[in-house]
Amino acid sequence: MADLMGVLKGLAGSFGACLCFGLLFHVPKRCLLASALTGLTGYAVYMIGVALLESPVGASFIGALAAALLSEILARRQKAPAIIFSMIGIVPLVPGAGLYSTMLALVLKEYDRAVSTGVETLLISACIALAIALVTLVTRALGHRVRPE
Amino acid sequence: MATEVQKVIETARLSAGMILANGGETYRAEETAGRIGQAFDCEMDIIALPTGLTMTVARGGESASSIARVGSRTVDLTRLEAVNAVSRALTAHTMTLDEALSSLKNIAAIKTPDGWRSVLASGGSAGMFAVMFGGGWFEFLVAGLVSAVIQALLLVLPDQGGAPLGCLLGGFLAAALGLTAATLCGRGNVSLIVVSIIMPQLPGLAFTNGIRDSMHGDMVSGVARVTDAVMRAAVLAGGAGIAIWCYLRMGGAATWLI
Repeated sequence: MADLMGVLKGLAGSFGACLCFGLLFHVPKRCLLASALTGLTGYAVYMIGVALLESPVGASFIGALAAALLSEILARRQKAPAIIFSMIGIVPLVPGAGLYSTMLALVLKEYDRAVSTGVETLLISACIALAIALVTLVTRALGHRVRPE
Repeated sequence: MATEVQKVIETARLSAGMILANGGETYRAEETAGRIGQAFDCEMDIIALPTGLTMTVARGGESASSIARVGSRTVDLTRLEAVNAVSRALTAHTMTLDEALSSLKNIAAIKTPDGWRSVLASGGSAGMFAVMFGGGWFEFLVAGLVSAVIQALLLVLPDQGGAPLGCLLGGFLAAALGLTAATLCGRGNVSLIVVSIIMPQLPGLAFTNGIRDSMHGDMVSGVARVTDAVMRAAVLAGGAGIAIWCYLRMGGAATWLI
């Protein structure tokens, strides 16, 4: 545990941010807490991934994978569309910081850095989307057995 | 008196249209309409796009078709979930078409969080993002306040039918107000504040839905949504970039931004 305070802040912050996001996007009341927990889980896995893999791209992928899997489970338990949970679940993973540093590098005319952070940001977004899409496709392929929402 | 086929198509059109207008995926809209048709032994063809849908329903010599334009698109997951519940009840035949039609009209009338609630939620989420990124009290307060101000301004702005003017303004104000606050107080992590304010405005849902549509074979919707998301993100970053460029031009220190 290199930085316990940072981890705690990350967990509390992601939960709170997802809760507010849920209010903004009008998540049904009975799903609000569960969707915020999905966001917290995704971010927790992301933080573990960053510590272990030292790659934000890989960490985002497994974070989104965890959030998407949990969403499918919650969707069946709560009998609600999985998108309610998955869309709140990926909110903390969206690479806003990468977008900012790409933009900053462009403004400062550091084009090398702009390209490298830009590509990384794109990769992260693609990985998040891919993870969600993969889980959706697999559960829908198995759908007849596990009965989708 | 409307025939059953006419009621089926009206129900399917309302459900699919509402799914598309409230942040649902294209395949969900098509599937929901298809399932409603199937439940009443109708043959059904539907093409759903992010901006509209067209469908025909046929049963024993009688047929009807319908086109609907999906005007303003928002994200309202309560409506999405309610439409889902109605279609499920219809397919299970625990609800009649008339009941479904009237409850769909009630769903359309559900109020999305507006005014103060959305301002508070937006401010709260930006503040909590600042905490998530490791910021302290100062970052939490500045990010939350600025995000709330931006959301309030966007509410006053007239609806532009999906045009990204709001994104440009949002990105610009995020960087401009964040920088101003940090400069006036002489403290704070500027990049953390700006990123926290930008986070709630990023089109994460549009992007993931776009990829999901493409992987599902809905190429038109997929390309449209991904383009929409990338454009919004670029415009948002561009808005912030303009503010930061102005700041540098006025003699601000670049080292303070990274």
